[in-house]
Amino acid sequence: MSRRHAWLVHLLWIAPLAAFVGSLFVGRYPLSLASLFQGFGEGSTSLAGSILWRVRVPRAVAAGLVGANLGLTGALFQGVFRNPLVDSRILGVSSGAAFGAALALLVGSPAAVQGGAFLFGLAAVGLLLLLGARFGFSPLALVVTGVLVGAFFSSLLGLVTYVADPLRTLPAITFWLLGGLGGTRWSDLLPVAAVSAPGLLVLLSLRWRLNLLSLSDAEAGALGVNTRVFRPLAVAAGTLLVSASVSISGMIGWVGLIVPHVGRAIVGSDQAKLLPASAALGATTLLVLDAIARSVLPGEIPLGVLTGIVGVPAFLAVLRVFLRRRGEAR
Amino acid sequence: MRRWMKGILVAGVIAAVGLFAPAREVIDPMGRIVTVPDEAQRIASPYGMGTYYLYALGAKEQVVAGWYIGLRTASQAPEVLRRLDPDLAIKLRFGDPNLEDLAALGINLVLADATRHAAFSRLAREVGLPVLEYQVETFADLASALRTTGQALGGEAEARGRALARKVEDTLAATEAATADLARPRVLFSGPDPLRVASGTMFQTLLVEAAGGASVSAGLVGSWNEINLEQIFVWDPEVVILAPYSTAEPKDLLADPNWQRVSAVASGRVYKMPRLIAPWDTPVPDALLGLLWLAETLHPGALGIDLCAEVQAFHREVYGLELSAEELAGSGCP
Amino acid sequence: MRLEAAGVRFAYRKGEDVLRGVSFAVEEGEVLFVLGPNGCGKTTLLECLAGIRRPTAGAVLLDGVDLHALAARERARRIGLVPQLHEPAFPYSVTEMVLLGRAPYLRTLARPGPEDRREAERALEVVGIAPLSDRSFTTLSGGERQLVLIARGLTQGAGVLLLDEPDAHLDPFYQARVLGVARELSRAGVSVVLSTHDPTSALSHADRVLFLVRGEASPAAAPTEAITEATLKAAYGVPFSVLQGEDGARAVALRPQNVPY
Repeated sequence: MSRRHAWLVHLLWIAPLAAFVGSLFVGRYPLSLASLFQGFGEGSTSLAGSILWRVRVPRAVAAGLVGANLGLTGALFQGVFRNPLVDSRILGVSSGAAFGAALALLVGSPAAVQGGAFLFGLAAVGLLLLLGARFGFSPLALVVTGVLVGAFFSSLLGLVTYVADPLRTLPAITFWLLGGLGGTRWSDLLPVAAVSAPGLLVLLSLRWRLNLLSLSDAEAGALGVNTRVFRPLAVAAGTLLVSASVSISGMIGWVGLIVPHVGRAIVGSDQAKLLPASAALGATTLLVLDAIARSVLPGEIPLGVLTGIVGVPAFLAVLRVFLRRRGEAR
Repeated sequence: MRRWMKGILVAGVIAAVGLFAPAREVIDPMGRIVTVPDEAQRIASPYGMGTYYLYALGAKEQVVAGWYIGLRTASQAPEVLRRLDPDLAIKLRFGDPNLEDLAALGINLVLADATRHAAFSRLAREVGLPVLEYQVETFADLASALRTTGQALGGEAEARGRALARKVEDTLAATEAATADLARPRVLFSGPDPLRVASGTMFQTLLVEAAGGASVSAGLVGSWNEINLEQIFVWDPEVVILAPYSTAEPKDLLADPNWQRVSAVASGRVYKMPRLIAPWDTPVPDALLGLLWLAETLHPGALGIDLCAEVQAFHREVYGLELSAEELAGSGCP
Repeated sequence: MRLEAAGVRFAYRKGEDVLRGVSFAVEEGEVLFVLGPNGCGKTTLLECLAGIRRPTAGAVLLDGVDLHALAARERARRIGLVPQLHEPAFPYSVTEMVLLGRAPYLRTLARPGPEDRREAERALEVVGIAPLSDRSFTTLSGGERQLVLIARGLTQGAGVLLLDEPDAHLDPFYQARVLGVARELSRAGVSVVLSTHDPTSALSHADRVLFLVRGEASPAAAPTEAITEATLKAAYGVPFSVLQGEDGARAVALRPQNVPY
């Protein structure tokens, strides 16, 4: 397996960089290569520089960061819950964040959307861990609790949309829910990066040990790992990342589900390799999709819509490969 | 008189009253024939713009339950509106209309949105409640709606309706004529926030075009469209108009480093449309003022009117309200 | 290493004892078979012996030291648990699977290094499946998977290996192979405790045998003493015959008549 895919692994590390740089060349405003390079050096003193440094670069950074988060947490949760059909939405964090954002919009404070989303995302996680503790944080209990927490916040979200003023608030909520990185500024990125950094650090350093969570609790215990502590720790770190991402990007699904499967096809199931690979793939995917979302039409195409439209056929393809692989075993 | 003759007389009177009960037939804006009571004393208006028609036609007292576009609670209402109608808090409703609730209030006429309240209206008609259905998207629709509403109310309201409709049509014609030969500046009309802009099919774009501007976002469709900053640079509007309910103020855009290179910001031509009773960019009578204000903003002096005087006169004639200097400030008055 | 269970009691819920005072010892290099009907607590017993479940009374001692006095990592370096086969969620490679056994030796943030890989290779050699190292675990047969899990137990460097029904679902070839590996390991000094449903394999491969019936353990004894028609009837509730062939091969067979339904 490794020999065949060796070149793919190299591609894995180049792809996000290439996508990042490539996305800077794309956008609604037609910029020639020359003016782009010029703008690179000029900063905000010229229009090209403004567009580059104030619009495209922060957006690309956001797309890369959010994509990496989504890919990595997708791989993490699939391993922790031993379920290949899981992505970051399973734990109800996104629903909590959506409610928080909608609440901020309802109250009439668009500046508080990011903070509100993050706060309620964390609240959802807190609720999840609190309830999960009663069941010893078993994977099944966490999934079921996650679904319940998600349903709870979704209902609250429904209430907010019902009460929202259809002229101003409701369209804002709807668009936020569809997911997108429009209007991202440098100042929006700072809190996201600040929160993502510790989460990423924790998960990437523990990445080999995370494999042990894919074993049964008995096996892991026999290998000296206390799953009752380790699992909630991993879940908490992951949901921190999800919360941070959702707070600027809204609801983006599918990326966390599909990217780990593609990653597995390239580097195998070892989380030590899979987590970084999924992060790289996720970043690449979102960079490409966001570049499309903001340049193809005059209006922004919601990212959540794009990932769905692209994601479903991609998922079907992945499913075929996955099932074929399983068919090989007996 | 013999008892049986008395009986016949009483029955006859009731029959006569029943046959000739005060009721009229009108044609509602959607073309349906509706039998309305002669004296519609208790009106409910789930149609957020219809409520303002009623106020403009002098039927304020008859409104028992009103939905006001853009308002969820009375505390959100502008001071002027609360002054106009001290009972606003009691009348204000939001959300979906509840038929039983309205029936319990003794409602005898309903103004509804043809699309949004379609199911409600069907049910209301079955119960025998007269419903006028509206779909107002242009100035022509507005004029027609004012006439029809006036007819449905009867009496003085009918005359007022006709007069107001004529005023709408005349103002539109005059503004279009005055700006016809002038160079049309590129105008961006944005709504709830600066990056959410009006599509070509929205009333706001009609306003811009009628006022002598060229809407940069006319190519878009649907409702409010989300765009990004690059698209703004592509269009490079010469004037930016913020809706009355926008979360941003002109000073926010003028100070924003990201917007500096947009022509409108560079030349300082960023304006927020005022709102007094109702938002001036929705198809209610106040849209007249929106039109005049916009034309004055885009082409100062071209109309040859005193905007301030027009605003004052409008509120006096249409709503019967004298505006204070404070209220007038920022609405075309110094 | 000497593993001793001293009066081990265990209950999942209060008042419902699954293990009722089990006592026995396994000497260094000895192979002990645990026989018993379904649901009698064999897996629970192994989990207590591995230290992942804490007995509600009594103790498990390793060379005289209470297991729970040791840190989890220390325990994991001395006792390996090879669980029943189950379908893994993701297709790890054989090497990756076996490397997981090095967890007790790695610091929390570390990943396996060259020495760990050597240990894993060695374990695969000992168990005899080195050619399978790059195969995906999910593509292996049941027997091959069991051998991989045993190899993983070996990389733990354990002095005691606990195997939970390793011969279940295996064809006779792999059954023999797995049990053969267990015997080889014991010759190398590893103590082996093995639970199984198959009394015949106990007859040929065990040093000593005990029955675990309804949470109570019979005293461990040599196979010929422990496995008799009487003990088999008492354990499983159906009549068996213990047969001996001319070449000395011995087997347990179900008596054809009077099998209650």
